[in-house]
Amino acid sequence: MVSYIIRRIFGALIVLLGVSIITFLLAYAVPADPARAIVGPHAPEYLVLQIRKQLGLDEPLPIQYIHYLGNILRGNLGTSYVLNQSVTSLIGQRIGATGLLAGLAFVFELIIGIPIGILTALRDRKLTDHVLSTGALIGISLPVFFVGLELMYWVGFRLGWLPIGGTGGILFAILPALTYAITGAAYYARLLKSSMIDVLNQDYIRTAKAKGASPLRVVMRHALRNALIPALTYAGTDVAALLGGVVVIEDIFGYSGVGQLAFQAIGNLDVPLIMGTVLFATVFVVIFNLIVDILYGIVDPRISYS
Amino acid sequence: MSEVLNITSLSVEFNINGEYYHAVNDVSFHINAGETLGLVGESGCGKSVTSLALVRLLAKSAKISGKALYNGRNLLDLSLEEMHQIRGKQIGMIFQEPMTSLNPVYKIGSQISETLRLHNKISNDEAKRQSLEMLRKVGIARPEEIMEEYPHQLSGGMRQRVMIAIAMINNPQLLIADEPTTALDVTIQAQILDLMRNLSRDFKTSLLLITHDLGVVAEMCDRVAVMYAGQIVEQGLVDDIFFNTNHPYTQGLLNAIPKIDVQNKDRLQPIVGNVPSLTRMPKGCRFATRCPHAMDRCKMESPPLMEIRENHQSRCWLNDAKVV
Amino acid sequence: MGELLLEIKDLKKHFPIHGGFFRGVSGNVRAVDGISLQVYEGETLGIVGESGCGKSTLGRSILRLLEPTDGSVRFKGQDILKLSKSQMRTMRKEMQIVFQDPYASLNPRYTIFQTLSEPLEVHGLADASTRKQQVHSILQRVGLDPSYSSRFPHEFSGGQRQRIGIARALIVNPKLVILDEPVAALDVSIQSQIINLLEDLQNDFQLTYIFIAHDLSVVKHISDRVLVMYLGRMAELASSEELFFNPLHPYTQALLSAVPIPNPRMKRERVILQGDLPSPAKPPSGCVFHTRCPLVQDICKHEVPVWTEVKPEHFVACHFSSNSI
Repeated sequence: MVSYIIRRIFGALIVLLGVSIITFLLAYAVPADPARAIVGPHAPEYLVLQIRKQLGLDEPLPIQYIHYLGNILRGNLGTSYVLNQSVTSLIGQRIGATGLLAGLAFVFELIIGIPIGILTALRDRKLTDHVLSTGALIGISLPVFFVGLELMYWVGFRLGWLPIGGTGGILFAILPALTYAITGAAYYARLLKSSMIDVLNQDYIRTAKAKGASPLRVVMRHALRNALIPALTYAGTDVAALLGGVVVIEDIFGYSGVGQLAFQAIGNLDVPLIMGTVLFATVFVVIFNLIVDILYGIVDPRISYS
Repeated sequence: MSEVLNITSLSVEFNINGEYYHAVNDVSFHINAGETLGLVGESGCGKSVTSLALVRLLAKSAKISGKALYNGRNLLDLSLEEMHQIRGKQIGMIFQEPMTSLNPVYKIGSQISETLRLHNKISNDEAKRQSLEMLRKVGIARPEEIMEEYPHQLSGGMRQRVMIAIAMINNPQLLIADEPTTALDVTIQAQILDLMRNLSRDFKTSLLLITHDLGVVAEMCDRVAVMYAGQIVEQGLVDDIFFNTNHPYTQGLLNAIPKIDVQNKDRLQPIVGNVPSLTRMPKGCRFATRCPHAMDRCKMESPPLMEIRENHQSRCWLNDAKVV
Repeated sequence: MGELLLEIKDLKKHFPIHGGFFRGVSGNVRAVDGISLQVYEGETLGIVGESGCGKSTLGRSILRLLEPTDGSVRFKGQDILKLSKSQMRTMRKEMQIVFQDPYASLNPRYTIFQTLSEPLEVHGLADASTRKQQVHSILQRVGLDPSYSSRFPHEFSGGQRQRIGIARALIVNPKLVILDEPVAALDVSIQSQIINLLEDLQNDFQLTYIFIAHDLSVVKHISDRVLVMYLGRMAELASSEELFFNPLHPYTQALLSAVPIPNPRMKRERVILQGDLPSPAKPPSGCVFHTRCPLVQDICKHEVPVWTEVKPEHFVACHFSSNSI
């Protein structure tokens, strides 16, 4: 198990190194000269050259990359051209809010998706299954902004249970998280339904019944853990989609997080901030996948021991 | 001798495209205390369905009728709760596929002790101690280590030993073994058969052994019931089945297998044709289409199971003709 | 015995074990580890052994369905391991294989006619007009109604599918047929039908069989000579009668005594082997059987026993085989 985790961490580090190269090159793919962006379109050419030298932009690419990597490791992601603040602190201020939103959205997805998956599997092709599966299909089909607006209207405005928008604490994160979870949970429900049906037909389920285990025990103890394995695999890829969704949702709810920051940065062609948020997003995905991989090893002993 | 199990007129019907068909038809047999009964037949003859029906492990859509008395209680009438208490405690089960019959995500130790703890109020430590003891009894070397391992780390033979440990740990009165050695190599099969024979003797367990292998039957069983197309066609003491064979199907099976212990190289005598399908059963004797002795009567009327000598029954009109 | 048809010398098939991205190849599974054999025209050579002994890998390596790691395979004197791919394709016409699970090896979207006429097309053996006639005649020969040729594999029972598998192998008129567990998936009553069919076809078409199976009774019945394999090596080779009534290798003896005999009056002393098969990735030193051998001595742990002809046409790899004659 320990060697498995070490191997996974090692793999994650290599991915991160690759990502840093890609974000670095990304800055060069953006059709904007950072020096020119800083001094403004009408400044004289010598000033641009001076800034370029000051920023080290006249050095060869590999040297620039090493500087860049060194800065990242020291926690220095550069300075936003537009907001004129350090990117690290800009992201740092919002990281908690976004982490809360994403984490909550993920938990909601599982809380909604897993029980529906189990129920529809146990009631396969019965009324409960048809009702819930149709509900899940509707959930998948609805656009995020529509669900967001409906929730704001009903839960936030008519019922007045939760704040409609803004940032600050867990109450503000619930509606946006729910918005994402309603559209995302359906995938988990479907995935779990099919894996559950598959698992319930396995020989070891018959063994559990032969031992005298009750139906509840057979499902919760013997089947669920096996059925969760494919859902876990999906969670690893889902988190990238989750971050994409968060950008849109933060904008809808006026939730001040990293997603909103990225949204603004792209609009302003604020290259250091774009690089910073992209790097943040990938680090988030890589760490989450690392966690999923470790969980995977815990849930399925066949993985970590091979 | 007391009867542990008495099956009377057990029938199982499955729904195929909206219609019900008999997979098991009017099956009756009993097992005495400490006895081994072999249920023999080829795939699709209903032998596994019979065993799953009597412990109520078939899908709910299957229609089951008849009686299955276990120590006088009809298993088919019990509540689900009562059934859970019988399975694993009084009736143990082993299946054909040791590779897939254990849960891949739990350690061997916890899978064995679960059976104990489901039926007995004992501490974790006590369950562990007894599980370890049981692993020793089923002949597992280094049981302490195996307790902490997962199924995928074990060979097929070892997994079947673990299955036997699970089935036997509550000292059940009846063990149902469904093709327990079919998936195993011959030298491992010999180990497992040996183990089952010794354990059922030591624990005084009755054994319902389901198999297609007449060699296994000859070696393990006291009595034999031969099944064909959902019916018992011949039933009797193992010696009578092999040496006073009555039913043409039983005879056909015995002739069809190559013998390892005789020197001749005669051609095998196969049973011609195929087993009739569930949805298209012949009207008369179900074996008539393949039987070398089939008469007109066989194609019209289904023969009953007739007593041909003490403890020996056969479902064949030839016996009726002898009487007339 | 007929003329020498196939000669295998020191054939090896090792599968590399990949230890992960950074660790490369960390070892070899020695599935087949030095097999030498002759197969004569018209005979049936049985190969028995338990799962993992390498018998199926051997069958596939002979046909180069798996590329052997080392050794030579001479068919009618020609080393087929040296043939190019296109030469090998032509050679395959002479050497066919029948698998255990015919369903898995039949294309579910092909009719039986398409399945059977394909090899004729590939080898350019018949033009379109005679193809139909050839397919019908081979179907008839394996005991299937020619009208079945328009059906699909799922419409057949296991026994019928195996007949189709045999028809597909025989339609190109091969010399050598490797039968890899051809009856293992079949019920007893159907098994004997297929065995009889194989015997009839061998007589009619002068076929040479390599019959690979785990069922000793079946192998004894159909084979002229039998090779016993253990962990990728040869343990014993003799005529069928000799091997089954006078086995000399302790493994063969244990194997035979483990077979349940359908005779309730027969009580035998049984040699029950202890333990499981060792991993072919880490075969034991010396004699590979020494970890389970009831007669093991010190020498067995250190020295590999020599393949010896202890009696005419009876070969054994055991340090003590000559003692037991």
